[in-house]
Amino acid sequence: MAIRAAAAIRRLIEGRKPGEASVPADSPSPHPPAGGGGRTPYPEYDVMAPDKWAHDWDEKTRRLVLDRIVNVPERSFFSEGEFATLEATCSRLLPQADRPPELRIPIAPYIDQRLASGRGNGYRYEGMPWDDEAYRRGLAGIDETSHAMFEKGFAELEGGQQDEVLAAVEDGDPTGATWKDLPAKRFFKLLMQDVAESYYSHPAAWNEIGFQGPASPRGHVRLALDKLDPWEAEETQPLPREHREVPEEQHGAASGQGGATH
Amino acid sequence: MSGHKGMDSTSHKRIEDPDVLIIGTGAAGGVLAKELAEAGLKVVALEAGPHWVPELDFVSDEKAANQLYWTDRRITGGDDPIELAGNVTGKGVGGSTVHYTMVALRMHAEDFRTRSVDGVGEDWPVTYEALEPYYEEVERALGISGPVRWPWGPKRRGPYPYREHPLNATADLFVRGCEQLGVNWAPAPLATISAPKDDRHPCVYRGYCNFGCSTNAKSSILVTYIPKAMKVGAEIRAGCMASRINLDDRGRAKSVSYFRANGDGGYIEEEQRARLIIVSGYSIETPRLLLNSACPQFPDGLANSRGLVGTHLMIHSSNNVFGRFDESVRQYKAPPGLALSQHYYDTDPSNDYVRGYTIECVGPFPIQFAKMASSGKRMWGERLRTFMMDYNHYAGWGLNGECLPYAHNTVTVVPEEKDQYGLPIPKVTFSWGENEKRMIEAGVAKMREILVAAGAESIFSVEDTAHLMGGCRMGSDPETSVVDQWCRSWDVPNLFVCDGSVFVTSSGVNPSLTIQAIAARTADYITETAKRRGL
Repeated sequence: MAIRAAAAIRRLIEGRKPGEASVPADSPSPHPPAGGGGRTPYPEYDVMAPDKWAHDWDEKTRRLVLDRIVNVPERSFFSEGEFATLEATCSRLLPQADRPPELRIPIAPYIDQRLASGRGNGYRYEGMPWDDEAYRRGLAGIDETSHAMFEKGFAELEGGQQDEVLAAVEDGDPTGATWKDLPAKRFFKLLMQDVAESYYSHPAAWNEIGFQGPASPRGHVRLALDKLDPWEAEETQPLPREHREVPEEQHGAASGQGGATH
Repeated sequence: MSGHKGMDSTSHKRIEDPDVLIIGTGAAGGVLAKELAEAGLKVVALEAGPHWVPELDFVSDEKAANQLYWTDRRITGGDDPIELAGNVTGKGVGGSTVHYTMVALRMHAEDFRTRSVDGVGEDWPVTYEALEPYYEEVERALGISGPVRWPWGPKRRGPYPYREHPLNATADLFVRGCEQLGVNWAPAPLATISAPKDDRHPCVYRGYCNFGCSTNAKSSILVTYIPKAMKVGAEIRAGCMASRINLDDRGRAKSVSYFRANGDGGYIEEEQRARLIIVSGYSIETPRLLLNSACPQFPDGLANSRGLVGTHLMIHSSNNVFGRFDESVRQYKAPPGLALSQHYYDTDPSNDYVRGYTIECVGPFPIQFAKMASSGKRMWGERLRTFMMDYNHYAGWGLNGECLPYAHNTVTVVPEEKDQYGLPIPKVTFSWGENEKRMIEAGVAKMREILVAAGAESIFSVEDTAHLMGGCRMGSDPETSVVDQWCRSWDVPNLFVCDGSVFVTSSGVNPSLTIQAIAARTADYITETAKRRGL
């Protein structure tokens, strides 16, 4: 079922160039599965269900998002080795072991695409290189730290070991000459922000978290607390209490570029 | 995606000999273009980005909003470097008003007199009373939807033009928390219409306000002032990046050089003469353009004889707090900032800081919420993915804290680093002062209290900033300011600077309405002056 879903969507735009995804009037079905390893509170939800496709997805949004999920960009910025390290990194920062490989949300290809296009966030921190160079050096640094800690390249490590390497980078003082002139904390944040952006721009992720997704032209009518429009995701099995976050008194660093909250 | 050529205003008849040339079409530039063109002046406005057509260009997609931001190269430094993309920038006709949160607040009377009232910052050369009629004019033009009763600041002389919007779940929770604690709150006045206006439909609460409104309910400059400006003959010249302002040998501004996109990725350099030039590029690009326009008469940059261009940059602290509620929240519905409080706005002698802040509801979409959680809670891996499955149960609000003006917070240019046009890029240097740090600590604590009172669990907070201001401040003394109260530069008589960069202090409110009111007042001044003695 899951594999057929991917194939069905792929058929929709077979032979089309990026930006030329065909835009069916009917919802493409079946759809990207929610996944979530059985934890998602929204196992039945489908952001591309026919009613939603007809009323919430205007044509330009259909075109954009279908193009995004089917025409996954080819690797063009990173070398094969860099890309392998990046993919291994992404699979720890947002793990998708519950999904078969062909149904995982691609993350590394979109980071590659952003860097290849030269379109950055528009700024760099003093003391940091521009994003393209930061990635090349940062991925080499992850490998370097990996060798120092476990005498293997990052992509060859066990998952738990990979997490230890990434935690060292996040903490800001990993072993390795790379990090002498590349601020590790800043690099980790850059990477994490890109990973989050790639993952949560995919309809499968929207299904998993019960996000409305596109909302034009219909919009919303029931806005108040605990009120739902019939076309919103129904929470059929609330996230088990043991999976919820416990109260914490941690102050975070700035949010990263993501648009204004207010 | 780029603006649609068929609808592009650059295809309109080109004005070869404008009276007024405006650089930038955001909150200030759009108002100036309309008002001056309606007064009969020949107006050209340059815009570095595309001319958006909301129905065609704005999608229902969070990631696609990146197209709305200024992402040309910049460097950020200082002790507390500002994140420069996204929330503080805009590129394209309408500027950042196409993605702003629409909270349309007036500054308070005391905000214009912080030196006199609290002994900090500087007094503005304009008063609230002088701006009041322009606030009213702009609120009418945008069709601000606001409450009948407004509890803070100077008494309003009239109602908001449109009724307030219904509250969403986050606002419901905010109200619950505030009322538990006895904290005064109000529905937010918003620049999105709650009833039809001209040819625009009321808001459908689709919630994508910060990513470009596809239904035109949002009263951005793009769909309000710009069409009116064009109707009376103003030319909006999109895809044109100003590179320098040229002077004649009498020291008057003569022309603007700019790079026009030639349609296949390259640029053509052009020059446009005008009798009067207004820079409306906002707090980074305005100082940058003036500094990059250095010439023999002004070796340190135009209008910079006192070395003040690019100094006293400010930004609001906008730390956010979020908590989990058992009820269904769904932060994605309706405009994010539907309720707010100015309960802690005024200076309170019992605080260890002066001045104050507004608290406003927020509503991040999944990408931004994941980014905030990953940095605020240092969370990644399975933990982040599982946390995000609980997205629909989180609600939060954020600070809009006053930032005092400091000479050491600056915009400079870096001659050795160039952008795609070959122009030296800007560098922003920023550090909080002690007053801001104390205010942020107090404000975050208050916002957490409101969350707890509303019944939240699993609370976390995230640092953030919003709303650049200053960099070319106005004043009554040429020794301590760049422009006068009419936004005319002290150094070059036919050169104006009119945008958020002229702010003297930051207040604790979102700046767009004040920028627009200042622009309307400057437009009046230019019009009156032109009638009396010509430009």
